[in-house]
Amino acid sequence: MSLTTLDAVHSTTSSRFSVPGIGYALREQNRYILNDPAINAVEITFERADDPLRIDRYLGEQEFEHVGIHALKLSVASPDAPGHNYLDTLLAIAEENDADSISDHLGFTRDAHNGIEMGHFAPPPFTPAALDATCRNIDFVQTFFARRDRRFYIENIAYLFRFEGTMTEADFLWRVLKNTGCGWLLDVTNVYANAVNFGFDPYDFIAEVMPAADRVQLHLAGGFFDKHAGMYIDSHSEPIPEPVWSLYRHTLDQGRRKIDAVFLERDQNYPDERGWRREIRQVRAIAEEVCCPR
Amino acid sequence: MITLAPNMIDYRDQIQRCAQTMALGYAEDVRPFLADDMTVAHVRLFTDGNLDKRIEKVLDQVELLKTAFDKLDDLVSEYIHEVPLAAYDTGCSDGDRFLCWLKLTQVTSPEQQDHISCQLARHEVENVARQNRLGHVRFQELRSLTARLTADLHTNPDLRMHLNPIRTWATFQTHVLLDEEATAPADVLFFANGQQIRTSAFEDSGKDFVETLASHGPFTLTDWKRLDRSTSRSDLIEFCLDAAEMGLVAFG
Repeated sequence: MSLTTLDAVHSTTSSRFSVPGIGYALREQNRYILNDPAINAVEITFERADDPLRIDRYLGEQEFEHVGIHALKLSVASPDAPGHNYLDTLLAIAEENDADSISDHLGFTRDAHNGIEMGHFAPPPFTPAALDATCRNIDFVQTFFARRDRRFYIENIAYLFRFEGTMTEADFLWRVLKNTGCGWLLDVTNVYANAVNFGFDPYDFIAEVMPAADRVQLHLAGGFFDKHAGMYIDSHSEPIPEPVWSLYRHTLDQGRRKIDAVFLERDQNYPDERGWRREIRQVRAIAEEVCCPR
Repeated sequence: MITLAPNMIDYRDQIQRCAQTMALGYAEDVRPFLADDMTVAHVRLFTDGNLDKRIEKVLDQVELLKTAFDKLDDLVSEYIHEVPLAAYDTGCSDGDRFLCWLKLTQVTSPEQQDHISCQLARHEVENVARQNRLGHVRFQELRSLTARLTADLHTNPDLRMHLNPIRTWATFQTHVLLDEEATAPADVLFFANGQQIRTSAFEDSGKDFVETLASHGPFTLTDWKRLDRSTSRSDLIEFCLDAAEMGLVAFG
């Protein structure tokens, strides 16, 4: 076998069996376990890193294979494009922390450019007009970030209500990804929550949308079922539930060779050190099992 | 002039109406836009959750007021139902808007006004740092070398004094937030010290020192003596050392 052939085999093998970067969405509460051998990626929530009195970079000295910046206020489904100041600051934090990607949510948080903010993202109406506005804004954002070689990913959100629309969420998302070519930050728990709350098959949803995405990152988290509201709440407060683990396996299988990184989110009821380590190791073990079958 | 397609005009109208009403916690106006199987109760789950989080954040941002206002929670709740969050809210901007709202809508005692001034000044330090991040980082780096250079202040004529660029003044009318030895009213300087914020009340001479350095600095002791002939060199050195100790001045 010639050297060229050997290289070709190695290259094919590594791309076929590549395991995504695995890590936590960084919180002060999990900073101390980021040197765990299971972790080689990290996600920074922009609003947490944007501390004006901070002197050192938010990540400190530690290096990771993948660093993602996660934003909350691009509001890509608003009628107006996001403001340059916000984009500049996002990019500055990305550069300071050597991030290779920036992400935000598929929804709107404000009415217009200099208007008011709701504090959290609402889903867009799944209509052609919303699709036009969203794609135009994502194109704008991608062009801005591409100048500094940062890739943009859009996250499917968990929502508690829906506007009247003319297409399904899966159809809307498929078109957004196809029209803009942006990456998909697939929040597996959000798909699960919406499937529980609005009665669709989460496996079909992922299988339907995945072909439209060139690059994918994943979010995993745990919430709870609120009996009073009759809804699953994506609170990031509990361990990942079994149905989400199953959906994660399915996602890894569907997204083979496309998934760059998997980020685990926890924002309340923080576990102890064993809990932090156990869950992230399980995330890696499943990824290795699905992506590198023996 | 850009002409919007008719569907985009309708879309803009829908998003503006929904966002503006949901930002203040009023879910009713969203009803005409909801899918058939959705009710206002679903929207209320969303708006209530957002407002609860906003109340928590504002309370965090105006922590100093907790001892000065008996019903701070109620006041914040009233505020968020009246004043929507501004687009691109960053840092403590919502807390600042609450403090301005408080001054405009409530009758406050001089002591309460001092608490408001103190909180606003702390936020202003953060705002100054946000606008001049490079200046903040450079000064703090310079400061890390200052301890080594302090001994040279008497002998090195080229040593320059740099004023911390991340600072702001506030005036306290009462004694409630001042040290025992300070007299009210007092001008208080708030400034960044690493990631912390420090405060110091100054008498007129100290305030003049800071303002001179702010206007003409950075400069050496010799430069300073040219500007201020009335103060002795030893007094200047003593003042510089005190200011360097507290993180207001660095040498380089």
